[in-house]
Amino acid sequence: MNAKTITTAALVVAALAAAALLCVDSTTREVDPPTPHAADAGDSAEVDIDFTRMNATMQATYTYRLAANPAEFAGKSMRVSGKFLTGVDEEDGERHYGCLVGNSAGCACCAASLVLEFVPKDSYAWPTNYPPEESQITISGTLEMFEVGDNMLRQPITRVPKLANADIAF
Amino acid sequence: MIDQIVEYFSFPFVRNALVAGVLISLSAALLGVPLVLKRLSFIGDGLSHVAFGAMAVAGVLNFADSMALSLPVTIACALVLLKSSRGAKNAGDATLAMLSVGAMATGYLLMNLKPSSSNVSGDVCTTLFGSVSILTLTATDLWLSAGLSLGVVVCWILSYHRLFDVTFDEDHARACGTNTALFNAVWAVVVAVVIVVSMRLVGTLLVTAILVFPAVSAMRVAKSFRSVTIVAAVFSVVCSTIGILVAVIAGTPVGSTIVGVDIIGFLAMSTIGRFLR
Repeated sequence: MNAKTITTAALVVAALAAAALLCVDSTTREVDPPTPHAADAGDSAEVDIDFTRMNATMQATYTYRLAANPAEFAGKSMRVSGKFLTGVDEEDGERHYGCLVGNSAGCACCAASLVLEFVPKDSYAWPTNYPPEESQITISGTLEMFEVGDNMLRQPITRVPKLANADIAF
Repeated sequence: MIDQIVEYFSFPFVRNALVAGVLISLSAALLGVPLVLKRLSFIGDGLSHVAFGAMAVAGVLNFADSMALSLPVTIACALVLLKSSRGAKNAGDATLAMLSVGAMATGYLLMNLKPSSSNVSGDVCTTLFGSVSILTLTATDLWLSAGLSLGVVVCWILSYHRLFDVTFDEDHARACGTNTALFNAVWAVVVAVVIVVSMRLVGTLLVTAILVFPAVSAMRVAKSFRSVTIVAAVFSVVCSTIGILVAVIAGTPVGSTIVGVDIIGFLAMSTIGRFLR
């Protein structure tokens, strides 16, 4: 190992590291640019993240990121499509609404799916304004972290992501 | 098309994926040439299966980062299998097979018995084929992958001459004073690191592709060890970059798209090689 080899190694590492630092965005909270207008979802308003305009790979990427770290997307407006699910919580008797968001990312075995709960706007009344269960819907809203459950000291023990003030198109 | 590429470049995770992909494919190509020359092409397959099993155990034990377990386990297996290339040929074949399928089956069993998420089939598939794993890197994953890849590049540059000696004639290298046992052990660790990091790019089942395709393609057009390695590195980086971009734009799984581009590149290099002869 001579000086020339060591110098070459150092220069190569420095060049690669400089290129990586210039290109990488490693802020703890990534700022994704807003996706373009949705072509047709019953609502032409612009949203920060529009799953309906993404291809399979981008949808799968966002689905994984949303499932792994939902807090990263708190405060962002979203539009997603999927299967409408609903059910009543046996403990408190409250009805919950969800959208099964999923795609195949190019092959059926690699489906990335996620049940995204949503809180509809007050103008929606069950069951009058709601689609049939398991029908295809598009929902738009702002992702917020809701605190659910509490312990004996009334401290919340779980934070669940939900689309708040959601509009439903079906 | 250009507008689409520019639009996707504005996403930070796409830029991060490209940076990580370039560094990982560069380190894999540098390692692939001596592995192919020593007839150890399938070692990547075996070790990646071991890493998959270790990742499954890490998931069951709720490790924050599966690499904390998969890396040391894979390094240990690599040391057992690669300690001596002569030993690997005689006794490592069956050992590799048993470790490989045993770890794979155990890992999949554990993931089903104690799933760490509600979408086991999706998680397993994306780990096996790398459909979107390079696009979902956290900041920690990114810097770890980049740091390890740069470490491999440094090791390669610093040990180039010894690597050349040991690859072509280990007995001669030993006779000339090289501690081949220690050297092989160090390179076993490097192989394990590259394989664990490469799994994030192309998935468990396709790791062998980014080790072997660049080396074999380069040998079609280049003749010396140095030129083969340089051509393999450029080939690997170009194919990975094209593969990631095509996957993001066309909506195809990233891992298999990269391998598809490698196949096309290999055919192109084979054709060029025929004209050069």
